[in-house]
Amino acid sequence: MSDQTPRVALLYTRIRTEERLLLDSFESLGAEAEPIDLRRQCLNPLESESWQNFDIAIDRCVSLTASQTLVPLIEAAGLRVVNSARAAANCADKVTTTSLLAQAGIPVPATRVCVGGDAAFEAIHEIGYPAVVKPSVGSWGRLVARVNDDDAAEALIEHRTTLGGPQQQVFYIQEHIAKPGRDLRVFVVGGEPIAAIARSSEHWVTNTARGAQATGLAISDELGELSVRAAEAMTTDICAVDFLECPERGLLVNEINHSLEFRNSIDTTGVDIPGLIAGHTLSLARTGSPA
Amino acid sequence: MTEQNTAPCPECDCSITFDQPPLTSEITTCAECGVELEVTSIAPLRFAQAPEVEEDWGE
Repeated sequence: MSDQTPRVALLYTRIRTEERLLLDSFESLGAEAEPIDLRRQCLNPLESESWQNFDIAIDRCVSLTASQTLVPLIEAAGLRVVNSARAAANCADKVTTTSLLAQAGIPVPATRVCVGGDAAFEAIHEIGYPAVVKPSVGSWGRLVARVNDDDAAEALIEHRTTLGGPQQQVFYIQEHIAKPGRDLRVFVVGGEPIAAIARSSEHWVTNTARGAQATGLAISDELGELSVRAAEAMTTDICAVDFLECPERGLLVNEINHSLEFRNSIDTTGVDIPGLIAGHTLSLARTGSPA
Repeated sequence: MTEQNTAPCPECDCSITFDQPPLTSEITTCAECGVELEVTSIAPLRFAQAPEVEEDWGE
């Protein structure tokens, strides 16, 4: 394989700036990257031939449904996918993420998980006000709520149990961390912490998708070590690990993103994030590491 | 049919040009009216309004 031009399947559902940058990086590294829109694929679980032309795939789907439905079939056809379906599933569901982090001894916010409104109300009381209620699957800070009292808790629970589907009956509840107006994100590629940013906002939700501003950050030993351990616990090849700074307990891992966005972090960190992701992906293709 | 790099915005009719050949499902923003668009066809080049964020989208 090493004496041939590596062929990469870039799996996507939308071509954003990130996917463009990755395609350019693969090309500049001498690889041939073919963008494949998973929404237009009709896969036969009994057939693997169509994926034999590729040396590796990278999953860049913005749609979790497309990724979770089709990437396992592509893996079953024998193609290594970065990140694997297993790693994506570990990161996509916050319940799984927290469980794996806790098993690995990585500090996380106090968390309760329950199904149904009555248990959720009890769990919020157990956590104490203010509590943070999140969907177990979701991103970009959507539907994340800070609950300050019983009135708000009752309203939130009633809305979710009455108007939501089955997934909205899952309550993922965490203590509110009085962070210093920012959270931290470390990009981990191939077991190395390559870059970090701080995301600052006047709003308590410090997500760049919700308007937070990113600035470059030096990676301390503790931040780097926790990031790498968190990435290992998720079995990710590449990921972004989000941290909260707790005044009493220090760094806590909040969540881990398997299909990371990085367009706003290249200039702020001075690190060629897409180049490093592409390079690591190609290194896995050449070495043929198992999924 | 040859590839196009330029086509009118479906909202304001202003011309939108790509530096590189566009890809199907690529997201772009009209510099004139600010609407977010998705490439629905590359030969001929056509756009539609990009969909609103869906529940399962994310990182």
